[in-house]
Amino acid sequence: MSWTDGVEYTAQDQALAAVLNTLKGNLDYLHLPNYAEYRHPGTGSDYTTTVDAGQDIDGTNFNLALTTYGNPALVMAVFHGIFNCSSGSSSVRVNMVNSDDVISFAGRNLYSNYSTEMTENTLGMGWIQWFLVPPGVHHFKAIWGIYGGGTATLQVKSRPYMGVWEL
Amino acid sequence: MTWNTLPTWSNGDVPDAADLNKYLQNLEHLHAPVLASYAEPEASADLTTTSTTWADVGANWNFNITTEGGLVLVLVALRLTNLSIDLEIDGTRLGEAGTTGVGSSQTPTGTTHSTQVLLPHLLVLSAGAHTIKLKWRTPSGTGTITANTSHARMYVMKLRGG
Repeated sequence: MSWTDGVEYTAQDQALAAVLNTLKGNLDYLHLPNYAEYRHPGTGSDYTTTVDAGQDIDGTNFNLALTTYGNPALVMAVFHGIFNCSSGSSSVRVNMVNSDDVISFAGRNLYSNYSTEMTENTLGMGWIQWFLVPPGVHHFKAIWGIYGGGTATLQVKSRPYMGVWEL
Repeated sequence: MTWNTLPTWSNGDVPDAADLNKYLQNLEHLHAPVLASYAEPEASADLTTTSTTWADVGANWNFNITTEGGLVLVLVALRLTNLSIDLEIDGTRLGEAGTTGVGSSQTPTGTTHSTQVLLPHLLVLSAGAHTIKLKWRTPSGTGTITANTSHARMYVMKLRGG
């Protein structure tokens, strides 16, 4: 769906079909804004990483394209899945980034800029982020790394899920 | 407030009051917040189960909603011990066919921890009536949702009227 900049009336104008159709389209967009989502089917190998810098969890599937119309638009992003790390002295650090935005992309530095952290004893499952973006096409990625050594795991049996939509 | 499917107009069409009122009703629909929620009362007893198969957490955690073809955001915030949880939408669980669920306090090797869970999930549902349930199971013994010291809660939000 899409949003169209409205037509302004002036005195004595009559409502034209084009105006009413634009209004209909914009109301429909407000009701059902653009969204993108991916839910893992729950089969296959778990995702793992041993790297401490921000790596794509899945550069194909947890990489969602979204066209926004707000100027700027507020985008809400959610992720959930069961994470583990192999050692009590390590932690899994995760984030979502707007990969088209240089500043947000800096969120790949998971040493000091991450959204949530899981240890062996605190299995984390979900988090929420917001992005303020200009109108256009944007790409949102889930990234992760493990701090302190060892292996981070995202269980595919938990059917990891990522969703983004324009608020 | 219901959502109206608006007509597509052609040049020369003349909208009447009923037509224009549908636009106003849709605006009101978008403006009205629609939220169903449940939170365990403060310092209530913990919720426990010994069920090793998927079961309803309870009637308080079942939500019957009617949507108009929009988006629905579900948020669940719980503290789990020896427990897996899942969401069931119209009789189908989100999780895989087995026992993992979408949230668990179990590691892959079976070690149990107490785990704070935030489960955010976006639903894209067809217009009509839907039932959303929180489900749980324990691998063995007793599984617990902490309610005594942790605020167990679930929200079902119809975004912009849903």
